[in-house]
Amino acid sequence: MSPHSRAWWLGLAGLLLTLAALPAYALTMDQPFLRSTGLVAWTLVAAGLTLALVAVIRTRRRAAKWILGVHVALVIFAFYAFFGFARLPRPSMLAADSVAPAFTLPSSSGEQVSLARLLQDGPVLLAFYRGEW
Amino acid sequence: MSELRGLAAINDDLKDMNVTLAGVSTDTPEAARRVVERHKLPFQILSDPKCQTIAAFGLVHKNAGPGGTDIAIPAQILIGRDGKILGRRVARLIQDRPSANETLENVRLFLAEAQRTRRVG
Repeated sequence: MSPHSRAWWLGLAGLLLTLAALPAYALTMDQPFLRSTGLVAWTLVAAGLTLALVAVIRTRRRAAKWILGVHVALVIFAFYAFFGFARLPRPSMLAADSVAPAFTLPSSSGEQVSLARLLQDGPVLLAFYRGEW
Repeated sequence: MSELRGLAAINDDLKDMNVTLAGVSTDTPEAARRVVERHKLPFQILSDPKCQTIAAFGLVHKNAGPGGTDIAIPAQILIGRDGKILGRRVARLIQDRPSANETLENVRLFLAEAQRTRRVG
């Protein structure tokens, strides 16, 4: 294989690995740990970036450098999306040890449920989540 | 939604500690019922479409929901029998979710902490 085609081959294979991170993340989102850390996706990105870097070092071709450039831009964007854009607002915290605000809300089983009623059976763990959409 | 299934898996462990689990979201009661049925959840989901209770707990993520509506910041809050907040775990990133084990550990920790301070105080 000529250095030129090898540069292309390695660089593109690397890019493909990095792009595979997106479906990989979607598929592993069911696991809270993988969802929180993106471990599978970031491992793919690291492998892809390594391949692109190897292509540049081994072939010193301009094509490989271009692919690496595109690659780095993609990874920077992904980093921003994962750690920057996804940042949540700081909650306006109730003071520690404060009394939880009382509430009565309609429930999935069709009744009105109050915090006071729930507390009759012991401590209550409320899981706030973003909804079905 | 993955965290709800995780919570379903530890519902019995929580019951052993006398802890009642309930979900809270801006879904309508009808949507909440669908979620409960689809995932066979052994606990109730409370419906707070106007974000009133969510706001009272300081957990509003403004304009982040469908059509720019307000929704909840993902969080778990443990409330003691006396109504006091014993501990909480609030997500810092949208994708951040505690595993079922982490939730269980947190609850144990919060309960133990509450018991210790009660004895000292």
